[in-house]
Amino acid sequence: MSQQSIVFSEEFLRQLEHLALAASRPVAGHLRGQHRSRRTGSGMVFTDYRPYSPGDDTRNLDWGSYLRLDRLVLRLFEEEADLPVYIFVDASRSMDFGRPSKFDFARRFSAALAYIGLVNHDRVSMVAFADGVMEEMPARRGKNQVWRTLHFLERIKPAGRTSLQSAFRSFFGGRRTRGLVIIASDFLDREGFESSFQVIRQFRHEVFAVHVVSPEELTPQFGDELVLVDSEEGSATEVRVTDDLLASYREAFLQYCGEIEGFCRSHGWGYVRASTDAPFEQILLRALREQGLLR
Amino acid sequence: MSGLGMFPLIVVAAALGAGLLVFMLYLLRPPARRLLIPSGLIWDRVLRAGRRSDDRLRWLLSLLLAAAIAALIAVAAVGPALPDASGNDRVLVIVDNSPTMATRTSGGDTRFDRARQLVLELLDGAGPGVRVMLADTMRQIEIPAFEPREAALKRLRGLEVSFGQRPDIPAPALAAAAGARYVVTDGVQLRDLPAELNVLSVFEPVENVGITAFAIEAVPGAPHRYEAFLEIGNAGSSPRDVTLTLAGVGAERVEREVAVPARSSSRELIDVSAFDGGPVRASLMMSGDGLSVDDSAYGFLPMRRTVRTILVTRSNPYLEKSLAAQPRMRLTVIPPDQYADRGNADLYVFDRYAPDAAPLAPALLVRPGSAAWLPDQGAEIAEPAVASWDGAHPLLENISLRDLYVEKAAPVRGQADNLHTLVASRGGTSLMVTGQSARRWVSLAFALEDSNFALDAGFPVFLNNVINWMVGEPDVRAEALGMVYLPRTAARVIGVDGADVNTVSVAGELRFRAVQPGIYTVVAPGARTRIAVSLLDTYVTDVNASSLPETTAAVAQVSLPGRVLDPWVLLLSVALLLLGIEWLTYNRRVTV
Repeated sequence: MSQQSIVFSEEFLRQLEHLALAASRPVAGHLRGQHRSRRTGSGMVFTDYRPYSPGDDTRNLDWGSYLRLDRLVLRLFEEEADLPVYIFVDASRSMDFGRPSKFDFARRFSAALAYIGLVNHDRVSMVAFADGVMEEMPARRGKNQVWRTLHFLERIKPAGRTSLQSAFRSFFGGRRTRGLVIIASDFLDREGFESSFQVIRQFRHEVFAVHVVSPEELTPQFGDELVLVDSEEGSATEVRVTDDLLASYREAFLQYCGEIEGFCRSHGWGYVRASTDAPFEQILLRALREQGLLR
Repeated sequence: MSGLGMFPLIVVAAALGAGLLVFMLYLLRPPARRLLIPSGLIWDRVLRAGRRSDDRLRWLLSLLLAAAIAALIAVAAVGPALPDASGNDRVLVIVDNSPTMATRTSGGDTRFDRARQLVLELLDGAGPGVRVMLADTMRQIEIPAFEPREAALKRLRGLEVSFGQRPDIPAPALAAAAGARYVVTDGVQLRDLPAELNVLSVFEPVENVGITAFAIEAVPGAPHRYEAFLEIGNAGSSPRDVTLTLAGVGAERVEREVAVPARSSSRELIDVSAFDGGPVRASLMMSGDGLSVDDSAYGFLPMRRTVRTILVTRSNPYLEKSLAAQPRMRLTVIPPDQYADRGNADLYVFDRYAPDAAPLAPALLVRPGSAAWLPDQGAEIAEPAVASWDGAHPLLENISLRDLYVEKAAPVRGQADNLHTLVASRGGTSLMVTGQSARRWVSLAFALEDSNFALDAGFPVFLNNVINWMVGEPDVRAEALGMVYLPRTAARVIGVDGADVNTVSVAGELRFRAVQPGIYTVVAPGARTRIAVSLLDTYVTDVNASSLPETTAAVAQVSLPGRVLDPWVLLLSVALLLLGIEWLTYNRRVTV
């Protein structure tokens, strides 16, 4: 299947530049950024007072308090830090399905989110995974890193079976700063998604799941005698497709989607189901804002 | 034709062809299209849930279809005869094969030949699906059943005229539901026919003279003379002069012209003393005789004219009178002290006495006492009960010892190779033995006064058996044509032509079918029986005693529609239809 280009229109990029990734909790970034952190410092948002100690920045002395109380009191401000963003792109063979393919859709989605993060000086890491980490782009900051990011996404090809758990264990096994984890995947993992998400959860990352589905997958348009071949496993299943069976399949598929969404919601994570036939810009600009990922 | 009626090779070829066809049909099943899907994860969930109930139903449906197909093919192979309440597709044909049907007609063929021809004409117009029950009056067809026309005609070709029993209409045939019922007969021996039967007559009056009685007996008061008694019947409507010939051994044949009145009989007495002992054949010669089987009869002239018997006893009037009553008996009674074996006797009877040396003639010994040539006698025992007796031995043939009571006896002690126990008591002792020294002898362990043997009905028979077996007179029996029953389990029967005759052993009896008059010889270990077989039946010789009109010239063909299809064809068709349905449902994945 030919891959679609990730190039966005200039107008759409301008729209993205007005957006920023939002973290619901204070972030743990090390560099200055635009997100609230638990550290106090030279930010804009007042948080507290404390007695002056020699060596403190005298610019933060509250002179009004000194006049009233005749004591030197230092004003404390919430320090704004950058947001570590980890974008996981599912590059398993099951993503190479549909028109446009789920993989292309996930790449464009990831590219747009990465662009937003880079524009806002967040540290954006990109990970392509299948049954493990397939390829990783180290954390990058700044708008000038956009083309490298896009080039990374252009390079990856769908291959292998899906194993979220292997990918997460492999990536988060190293020391990673707590941040926002965005996963663009179809979540068709035979090992189950719950155990995989538990890996992320134990590192206390904030998670946003982008569930990419294709309309062909949701409402198959085939019938009669078929041998269904699993693109990842290669296993074949002989089946006579009837209307009743298709209805059962649709029900099972929606139930599966609901299970993922329910899991995410129950842990306070974000979830959006993105159908590949839906307008890409609409999902990005409206749905993600509604879900609180963008502001 | 039924499924079983087909030749085995054709059945096998048809089964192989059907199997090949089914296999090819299954090969025609189009392969399912392969479709790549992202993952079978969801499909597996759906199919796993769906298969639990659907697959069981599909499996059951497949099993039901396969079982129905197999059952239909199996039933079709058996060739079922479906009951038809109306019986419109069934014909009952009863063929008379009694002895008079062997009568030759003016056309040269027999009445039975005509009957067979009539049946062929009768069934010629029957539809292909008509089922025919063929029965005969002499029970050659043991279990009549409705069957396809060809099978019935094949069975008809195997029928023949039979002798030896009274002909009748088989009850199962009369009870069967049939659209048309026929009986083909000459009406001579088969009378009072049921009204529901359409009678096809093969009767035609013919001239027939036959021997209806034949016996050779000693002349009373002159035991050396033998006369043959013959009765000759004339069934024709005009008096006949026939030549009666008696042929025997050792003398010229005796010929006599006999005039037999119309529809009456003549009786003849002919002296046959000139013949040596052995078979005697009586035959009639005339022209235009209808039935040949009654033109000859056989008898047997005893080998020995008299049996010189010496009874050695102190006094035994009953034994003396019983022996004297035996035919051909020349009896001499002497007391034991006058006994001297001078070789002038054919048989000795020793009553409560045993000579010191074995006699030169066969001997019957009654409680003989001790002698060197006889086996030792044990102590006297009281009331020994009879446990068993050898009924197959010629001495005890046609005798029952069930009621024999013995008050006291001195049984033979021990066993010897040349001894044969004829009667054994419950204690294992021998009450009657036979052996051989110089000649054969038989010894009773009890005296006649000490038992009820002399009062038994079988005692004269026993004496007769003793005389025949001892003196070497062959055992002779006279039997009628047909089935002959022998009180033996195994024997060889030699027929008139010297060839062995097929025998059947049933329930302790040996049976064989005598199909023509003559002397038959039964050869068994230690015994040889001659059987003189003759027809000698007035009712058979009277071949014109029928109330039926003369032969049915032409017979209307049976015009029954019959079934368009035989049941087995119908069943096979349904099986094929089900097979097609099964194939279709299999390809449509409705069945597994």
